Amino acid sequence: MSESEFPTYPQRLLSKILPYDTKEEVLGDMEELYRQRKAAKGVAYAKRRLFWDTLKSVRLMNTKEYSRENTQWILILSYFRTGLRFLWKTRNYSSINILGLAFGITAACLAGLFITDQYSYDTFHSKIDRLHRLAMDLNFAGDVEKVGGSSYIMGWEFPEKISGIEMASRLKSGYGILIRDNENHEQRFHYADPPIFQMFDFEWERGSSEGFGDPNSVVVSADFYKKIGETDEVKLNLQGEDKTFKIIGVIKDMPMNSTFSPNLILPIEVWTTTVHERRTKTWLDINMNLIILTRENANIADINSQMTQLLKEGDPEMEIDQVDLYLQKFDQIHSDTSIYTGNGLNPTISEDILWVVIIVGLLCLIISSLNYSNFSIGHFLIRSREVGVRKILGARSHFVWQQFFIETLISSMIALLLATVLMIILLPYYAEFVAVPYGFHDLLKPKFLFGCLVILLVSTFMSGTYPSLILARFKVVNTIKGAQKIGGRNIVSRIFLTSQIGLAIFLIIGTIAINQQLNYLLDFDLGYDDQRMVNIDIPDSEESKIARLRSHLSEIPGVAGFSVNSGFNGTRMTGEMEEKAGVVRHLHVDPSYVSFMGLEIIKGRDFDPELESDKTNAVIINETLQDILEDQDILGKEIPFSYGDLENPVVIGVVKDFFFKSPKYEQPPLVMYLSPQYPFQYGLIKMQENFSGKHFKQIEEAWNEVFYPNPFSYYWMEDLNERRMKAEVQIRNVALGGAVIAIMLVIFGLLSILGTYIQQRMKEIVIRKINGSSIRDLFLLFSKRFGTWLGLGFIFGTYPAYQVLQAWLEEYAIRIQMGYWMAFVAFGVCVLVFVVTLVFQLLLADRVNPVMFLTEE
Amino acid sequence: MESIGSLEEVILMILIKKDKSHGVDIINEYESALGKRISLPAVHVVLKRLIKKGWVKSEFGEPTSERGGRRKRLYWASSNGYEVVKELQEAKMKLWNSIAKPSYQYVGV
Repeated sequence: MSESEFPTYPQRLLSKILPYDTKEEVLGDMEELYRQRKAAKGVAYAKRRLFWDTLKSVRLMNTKEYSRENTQWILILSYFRTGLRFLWKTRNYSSINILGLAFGITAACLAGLFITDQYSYDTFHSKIDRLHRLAMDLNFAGDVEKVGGSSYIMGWEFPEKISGIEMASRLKSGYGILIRDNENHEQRFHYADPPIFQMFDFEWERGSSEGFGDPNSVVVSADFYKKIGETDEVKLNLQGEDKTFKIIGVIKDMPMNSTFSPNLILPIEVWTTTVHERRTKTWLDINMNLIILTRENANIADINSQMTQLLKEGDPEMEIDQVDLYLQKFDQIHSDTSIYTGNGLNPTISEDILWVVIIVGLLCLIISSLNYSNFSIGHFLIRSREVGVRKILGARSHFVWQQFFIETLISSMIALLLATVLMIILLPYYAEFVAVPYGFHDLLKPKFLFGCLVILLVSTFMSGTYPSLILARFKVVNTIKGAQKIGGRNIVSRIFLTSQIGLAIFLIIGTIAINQQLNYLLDFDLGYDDQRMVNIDIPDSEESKIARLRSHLSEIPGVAGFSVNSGFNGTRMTGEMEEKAGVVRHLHVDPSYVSFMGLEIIKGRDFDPELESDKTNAVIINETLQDILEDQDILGKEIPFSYGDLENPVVIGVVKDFFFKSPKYEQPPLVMYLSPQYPFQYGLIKMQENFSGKHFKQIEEAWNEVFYPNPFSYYWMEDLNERRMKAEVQIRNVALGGAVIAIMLVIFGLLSILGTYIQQRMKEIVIRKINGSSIRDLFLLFSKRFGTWLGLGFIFGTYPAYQVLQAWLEEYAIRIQMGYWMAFVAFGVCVLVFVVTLVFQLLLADRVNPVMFLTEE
Repeated sequence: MESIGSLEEVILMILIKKDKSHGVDIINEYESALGKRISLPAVHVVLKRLIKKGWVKSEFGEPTSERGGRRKRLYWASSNGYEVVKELQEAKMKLWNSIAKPSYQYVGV
C-alpha cells in the first residue's frame, strides 16, 4: 500500500473551502477510512464512499475553527494579564497616573452624589408628577414679582370650580408657644386641609388622618411626638390664647430630601377662627400656599387660565395691573429661588450651585482622563515594539485596540477602588462642606452605584480612545526599526496639556472671582455697623412695656444702645408716582433709630422727639427714593405716600442708602416715620465691645420680666447677614474644592508628561551635559519648547472664565470688577507648578550616569 | 436545557462508551452498533454542535502515517454530556416500561 493510492481530489477541493484545523482532521479521517474500507470491502466501495463524503463535506464550509470557538475569553484574559504586567513594569508612573484618575473619579462621584440627591427631592411621593403649588406673577407696571402663594379663598374656590383639579389643600405655616411642664418654647407648625394626607405619601406610625378637620385635632411627626414625651395632647398658646389639641395620628419623619417636613399639622379652621373674616374673603390676601393635585392627563395650561379667570371674576377691582396664576411643579420648589415664597415651602438650594457642582465634577473627570491619555501616549515607544511584534504575528488592529481599552479599564477599575477608599475617608468632610448630612448608606444606593458605573465607563472611554486608536494604527516596519515618528503624538499630547492648563486656569480664576465677590459682599459697607447687634422680638408694642424694657436694659453695663422698629413693610406710592416708584418699603421707628444705626444723614436733620409735627407727619427717606422722585430739593416738601393715617408726609431728612436687605439686590426706596401706623415688632440692642455672657443673661431676664410667657428669641445681625450669603458660601466652597483638585490633577499630568518627555530624550540630555550644558541651560531649552503651549492654555482658560463670571456677576446689585490680576495669579500658579515639575524632573535626570544612555545601543 | 437531536444522542452515547476517540472510531462504532451507514461530515457537524453545547471536549492527537501525516482530533464526553444522556435514557426507559407489552404469561390469582 503506497500513499499515492489515496485520491488527490478531496485534498484539492476541500483545502480551499474548509477552516484549517477542520481540514486537517476531516482529510485525515477520510484517508484513514479509505484505507480501512479498501482493506475490508475493496477499492470500488472505498472510492464510492469517499466521493460522497467529499461532496457532503461542503457543508462544513461555514463552521468556525475549533481554536476560535472560545478565543474571545482567552484573549481578554491574556489582555488582562499583559495589562497588569505592564502596569507593574511602569509602576512609578502608573501609580501617579492611577492616583490622578482616582482623584478625578472621586470628585465626579461626590459631585454625582450631590446631584442625584438634589434631583431626588420629593420624588418619593407617589403622586409627585401631578402635585403642584400655586404660584403667580404679580405685574406692577412692568415690574414682575414672582410669588409662590395663595389666598384662603383661592384654596376654596379653585378645587370647587375647576374640573382639572382632583383635590387641593391649603398649607400655611404658623407659630405659637408650646406649653409643657412650665417650660415654654416657640413652636412652628403648619395649618392644612384634610386632603393633604391623600396627596402626600405619609407613613403612619400610629392613628390616622381620620377626624382631621375637627378644630381640636392635630397630627404630629414621630420626632415631635417623642419630644413631647408621647402624650396624647398638645397645648399651644396661639395669639395669646391657650388651646389644647388632641393628637389623632403620628406620622413618620419625612426623609431628608423633602421640601415639606411638618412637625405639627393643625386644621386650617384653627387659623380662620383667629383672624378677621375679611381675610378669608379677600382674593389677593396672599399669605399661604395652595397644594394642588391635578387629575391625570389634565391640561395644565387650561387650569392656569381658568384660575386667572376666576380671580378676575372674584376680584374685579384688583389694584394690580395684571396677575397670572399658574401651577409650579412641586418637585421644583426646592431648587427654584426665583419665586418668592414662604409658609414652610422654601427652596433649599439655588440652581446655580447645582450647575457649579456639575461643571466642577465634569472638569475634574475630564482633566484626569486627559492625564491618563497623555500618559498612555507617553509610553508609546515602550509599547510600540510590542505592538509591532504582535502585528507581525497576525494581530489585527482591532485586537490591539481592544487590548489597550482593556488596559485602560483595568486602570480605571483600580482607580475606582482607590476612589471608593477616598470617598469613604472624605465623605464626612464633604458632608460638612456642602452642608448636607450624608452617611455611608448613601454610597450604597443603587442610583449612586449606577452613577459610579457610568462614571467608570465614561472615564475609560475618554482616557482610552485616543491612545488605543493611535497604538492600533501605526506602521509595523517603523516600530520594529524603532523609528516610529512621534511628531503626531507630540501635537496631540501638547493639545491635551494645553486644554488641561486651560481648564485649571478656568477653575482658578473662577475660584478667585467667586471668593472676591463673596468677601466683597460680606465686607460691604452696609451703611450701618452690624457688629455686636442683636435683634430681639417685641411681642407687644404697648408703650409702657417697651419703656420698661428700655429702662431695664439701660441698667445693664454690656448694653450700648436700644432701639425698636416695626420691621420693613411694603406699600405703593400714590398718584402718578404709584407706577414709577413701585413698592416702597416703610418702617415705623423710634426717634433714636437713625443715630442708633449710625445712618449718614446727607440732607436735613434727624427726628426730634420734642417736635410734635415729627411724631405725626414727618418722614426721613433714603437716597434711592429721592432719586426716584427726581427732586434734589425734597426737604420740607410733601411726598405722595400714604399709609394708615400718615398721608402725604413732609420730608425732613434724607439718609444715605443702607442695606437692610441682602446686598445682592438693589435696595428699594424707603420711608421712615415716627407716626404709629404699624406696631413695633423688633428691637435692636447694641452691645458694648467688652460685653460678656453674663450681660446677655441679664438681657434675657429683663425681657422675660416684661414679656413673659412669650419665649425670648433673638439673632445676631451679623449672623443674619451671613446667612443671606449661604448660597454664595456654598458655591465658593464647591468651586474652591474643585480648583484644589484640578490643580492637583494638573500637577500629576505635568509630572507624567514631563517625566516621559525627558526620559525619551535622555540621550539628548546626557550629550548636552557632556558638552557642558548646565541644568539652567536645559531648563531654558525645555521651557521654550513648552512655553507656547502654556500661553495657549492661558488664553483658552481665561477667555471663557471671564465670559462666564461676568454673566454671573451681572446678577448682583453690587459686584466686583473682573480684574486682570486674577488671570495673572492663575497663570502664575500654573507657571509655578510647571517650573517646579520641570526642575524636579531635570534634577532627577541630572543624577543618572550618562554612560547608561550612551551605551544602550 | 438545550435540546438534543437523536443523532447527537447516539454519538454522545458512543463517546461515553469509548472515552477518547476520533472521527473514524465513531463512524465504525456507529455502523457496527446500528448497522446503518453514516457520512463523515454528518458526524463532524454533530461533533461541532456537541462541543458548542459543552457536552463534548476535544484535543489534537498524534499524526499517523495512515492519515497522510495529519493529526487526529480526539473527542470525549464531558460530565455534563453524561448527565444529559443519563437523564434522557432514564426518561425513555420509564416511558417504555409504562407501555403495555404483549405477554403470554398470565399473572393472577
